Amino acid sequence: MIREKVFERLNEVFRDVFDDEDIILLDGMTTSDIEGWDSLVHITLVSTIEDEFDIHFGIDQISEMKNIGVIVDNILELMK
Amino acid sequence: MRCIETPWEKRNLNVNGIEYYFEEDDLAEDIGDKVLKDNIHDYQVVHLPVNKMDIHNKLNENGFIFSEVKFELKVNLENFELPTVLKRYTNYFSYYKIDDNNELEKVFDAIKKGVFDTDKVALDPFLGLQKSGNRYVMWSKQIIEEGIGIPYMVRYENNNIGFFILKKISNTIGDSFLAALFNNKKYNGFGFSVFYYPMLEAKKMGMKKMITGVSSNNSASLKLHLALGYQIKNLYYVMTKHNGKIKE
Repeated sequence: MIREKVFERLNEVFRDVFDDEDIILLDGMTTSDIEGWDSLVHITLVSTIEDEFDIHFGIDQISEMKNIGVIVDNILELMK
Repeated sequence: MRCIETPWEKRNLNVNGIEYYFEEDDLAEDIGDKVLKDNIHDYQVVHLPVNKMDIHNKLNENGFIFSEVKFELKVNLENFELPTVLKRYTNYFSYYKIDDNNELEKVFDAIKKGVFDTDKVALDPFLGLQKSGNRYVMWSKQIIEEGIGIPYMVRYENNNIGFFILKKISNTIGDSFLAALFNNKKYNGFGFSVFYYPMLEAKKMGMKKMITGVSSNNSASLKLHLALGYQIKNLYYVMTKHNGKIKE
């Protein structure tokens, strides 16, 4: 899957989890750029992304998921 | 209304303090000058049932400012189970009782540096993060020395990521007294661990219930506690007043 397509689907996941239709993800965005990205939301995000892309993150990947670009990279890697 | 002198705040915060606990049947018109025009105490803290807006407004008119909504939480430990979405993480986390004084000092250093940055004292413009940290350290030392508080370290794989102090209220009731991730371990999705392991440890000790208090200024903590099965037992406004001081 191409990176742009992953971005598009990931954007929908974020809008759904954060209940915010105005979210537009950018490569360099971090946890501090999205209001409400706390510990519990982080865990919800992980499981929702896994369901959406039919992948399974490792624990180290989960702890590094503070940056949108890194999340997309990990998704692409796991989908190979 | 109950009044409690808080002489320990002289040591903790260098203030002459008093706390007032209002009840459901207290009336705004009964609040006297002893509270409103107090010139003995320089730091007053009010705990007020959340529906008592008339009292809130009267206190506010007399210099008390809103600090937080305090949530008193409780959970039954007999049937509690970790939510499915969190179960996968437990293989990577562990905890142990802190017996080493040097290690305990490291926890206290972390507290002093400000892990509790949403505490009402930390957010108070007249007090601040450092005084809040010192206050928590002294409070923790006291309950540990009294033998009713037990400190634990929480680990993720081979790294210390946070701590908790479990306070024994009785043989069947525990208090998740204090818990936090270290500052450089926040925002990793690890937060649940410092609230979950006190529950697990208390259950192992034979306790049936856990209680704790969470501030509305820490919504992340509140959401995690609710996700772990805690229920809201009570909630009240907390208001404070610094006599003789005006915020610049």
